[in-house]
Amino acid sequence: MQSELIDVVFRSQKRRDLLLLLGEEPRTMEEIKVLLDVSPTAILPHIKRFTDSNLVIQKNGKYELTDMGNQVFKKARSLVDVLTLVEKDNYWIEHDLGGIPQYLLDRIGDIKGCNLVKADPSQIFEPSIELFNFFSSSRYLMVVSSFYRPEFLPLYSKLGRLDSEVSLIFTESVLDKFLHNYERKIRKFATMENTDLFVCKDGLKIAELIVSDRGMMISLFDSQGRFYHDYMSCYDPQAISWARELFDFYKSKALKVEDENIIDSFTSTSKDGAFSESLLLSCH
Amino acid sequence: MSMELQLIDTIFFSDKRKNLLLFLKNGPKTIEEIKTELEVSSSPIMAQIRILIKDGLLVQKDEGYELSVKGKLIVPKMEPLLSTFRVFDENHDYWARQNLRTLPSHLLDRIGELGKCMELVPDRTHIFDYPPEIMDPLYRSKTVMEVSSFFRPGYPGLYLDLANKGIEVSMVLEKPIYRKLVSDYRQEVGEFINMENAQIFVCDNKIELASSLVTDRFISMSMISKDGRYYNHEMVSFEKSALEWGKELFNYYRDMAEQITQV
Repeated sequence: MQSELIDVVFRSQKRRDLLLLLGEEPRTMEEIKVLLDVSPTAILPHIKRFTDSNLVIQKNGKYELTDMGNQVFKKARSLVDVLTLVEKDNYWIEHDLGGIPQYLLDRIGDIKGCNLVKADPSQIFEPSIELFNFFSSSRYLMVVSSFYRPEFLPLYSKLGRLDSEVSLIFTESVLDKFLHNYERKIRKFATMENTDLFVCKDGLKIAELIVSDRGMMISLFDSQGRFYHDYMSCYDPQAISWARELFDFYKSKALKVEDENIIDSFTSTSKDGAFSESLLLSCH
Repeated sequence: MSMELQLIDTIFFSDKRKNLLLFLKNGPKTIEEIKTELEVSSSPIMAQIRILIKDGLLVQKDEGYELSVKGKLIVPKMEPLLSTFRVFDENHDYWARQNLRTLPSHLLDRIGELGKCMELVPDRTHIFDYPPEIMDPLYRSKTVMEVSSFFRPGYPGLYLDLANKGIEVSMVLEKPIYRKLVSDYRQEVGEFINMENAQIFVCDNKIELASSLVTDRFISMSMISKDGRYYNHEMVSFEKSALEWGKELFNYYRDMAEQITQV
């Protein structure tokens, strides 16, 4: 009688780790020893349990998952990713996830590597030096922002001049404020070859999203719409591609500011405080 | 290194908690609804509810309970895992023997949708036929869709008979099988494809699966083992999700096949 797979996979943390490890690629005993930090005598009974359950086979000196093992791995991976995400930090459950579309929420485990970066209370109203420095050598940069952060303008312009691809999505109030204070710089930015500027409606459900080849950061509002200056960040390739997809989602709902006429119409209408509704698609 | 993951004990190692979480996936429920669905009395289920609330997976809502934000992130991942594990557990040796890659990968990823399956192996008198257990539901079906990479002696007769009874019959066959069918039973094939409720599609590509028969009542499929061997057997499921899965399997092959309009 075979024991149930749920027990085979989840009754022991060692076996769970082993399954997730072999799901990446076949491994030798030597590699398993090092990567899981175990002795062969401690891990061999677990390997035997897997081979007895037809989840693992030994081939060319390596242990690898069978087809069945691979299916079991895929299902375990996506559950373990979400469990890791929620057990690591309460950030996600204490904030409003309404700005993340369902298909990305289904894969929120992809950003399980995120770490919380707490704001330093003494510097809350200062430019965020860490973020600025971190993103300053990016090969590409994508930003969705509900905030007016003029201190980042030099970063956008610098990367733009360095031929990095820079795409910015601002809410209409943020763009309005930028145009009010930095009209020339914004006009110049919008007309550069390798830069894109988009505008979307106010009331975004995410506070800020920054993605580059170096990493990603995201910050959200709490359920009451409050913002605490903390953010989550991660450098995993998986998290970066998740964040890029989130950026693409917002881009698909935003209007591209591609010629100066749009800026003209924006600056003229926004003086009376009303921006042409027809120009904007709903961002929700 | 890896995390301990306290929640694994909470969600998996009590059937009451596991079933309750899956039940609440469909929305908030009152304690009465929970007791009826899970066939439990108040005090044992309340003990489990308290554990789930303590671990932040459940919240109280008006008169009942619902999944918390955390619960809503986790529970949707439990379901495909548990259904996959269940399909494998119930016929462990069978699935371990088969070459699972003969299934299209998007359907292999959803193998849990087959639900409760049973393997039928015909006795010697029926060794080339469908097992008698599925003949009755086959004749009660309204639509019959078959994908096959091998030749069943019953082909012209059985399928012509089904079509004559007004059942919608569609078949996707590998090219060599179709050729054999035409050379052995030209007249029957002609009769079959001239019927309004009968269709044959021919596939140039290799059909990796041995066969799959899906109707509006059941799915019955057979696979090739890892060492490339075949024995006559049918893996049968009557579950609704399995019928949907089987229809997608049929469509997958039909979409790469061409319909035959004349012999």
